[in-house]
Amino acid sequence: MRILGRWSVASVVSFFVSLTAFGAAFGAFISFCVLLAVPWVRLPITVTAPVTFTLDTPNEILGGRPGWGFEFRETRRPPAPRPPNVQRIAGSMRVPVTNRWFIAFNGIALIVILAFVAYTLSKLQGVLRTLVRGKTPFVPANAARLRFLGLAVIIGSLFVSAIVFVENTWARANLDLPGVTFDDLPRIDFGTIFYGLIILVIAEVFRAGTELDEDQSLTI
Amino acid sequence: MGIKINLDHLLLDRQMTLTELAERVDVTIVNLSILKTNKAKAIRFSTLEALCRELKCQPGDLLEFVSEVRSKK
Repeated sequence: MRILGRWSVASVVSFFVSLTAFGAAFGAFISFCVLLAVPWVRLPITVTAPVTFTLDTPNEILGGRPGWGFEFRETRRPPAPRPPNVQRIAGSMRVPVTNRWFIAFNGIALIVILAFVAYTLSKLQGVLRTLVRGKTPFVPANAARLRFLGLAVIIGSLFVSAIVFVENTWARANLDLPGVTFDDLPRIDFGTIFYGLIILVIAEVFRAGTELDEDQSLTI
Repeated sequence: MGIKINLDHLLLDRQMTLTELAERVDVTIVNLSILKTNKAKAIRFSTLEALCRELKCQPGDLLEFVSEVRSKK
């Protein structure tokens, strides 16, 4: 199995990266078109937004008629174990929204993320192209591209955290779902930030490799 | 500037073209051109030896140290 060159692992990865980049760019374009129609669309429309929350399992209802004001719930005295709850769930909510500003915010956030993903993947595509063409990957452009990728992963992760924080804030103020507590603090994905830092280190290795390759090619 | 290659002077003295020298020392004309225009970062002993042999000179005739101040002038 060939790793580099034509019809290799690099070419397959390059193909899927191109496809994803095109999909993201196309998605950004479609989102932009939909966003332009927001002022005229009939409300409410359903918006899907990313959120993080904690899920409390409700006390068991033993009897009565829920919603009629008399329910018999299982009660626990202080020494009794607390009911389990599921914490820090990352998911998405689908809510019918009548606020056009909220819809516009989500639309703009989606466009920014998709455009950013498309541009970042085009940089990755540039790195892969040099590998597919069988040329040396140690070119100054690749070091710069990898540095951009590392920064993009870190900034993208922080941007998504900020978006989720805003969505959580909106959900806390506007939604009342029994047992669901939306997170009130930003949730930073340190794992992804760590990956971004690793890519930055690899970019530096590429920069040093580029210098070595240049030295070697200019040694007569 | 640092180290300067005096290949063009030596070629002129020996009445030799760059193409002819490239064939004799078995180095591509592109690489010799890089050497001549002082764009090279390093020179192999084998290349230096071949150049000295064909140009009938010493390494000191081919290489010259030029200080920064002098090169700015």
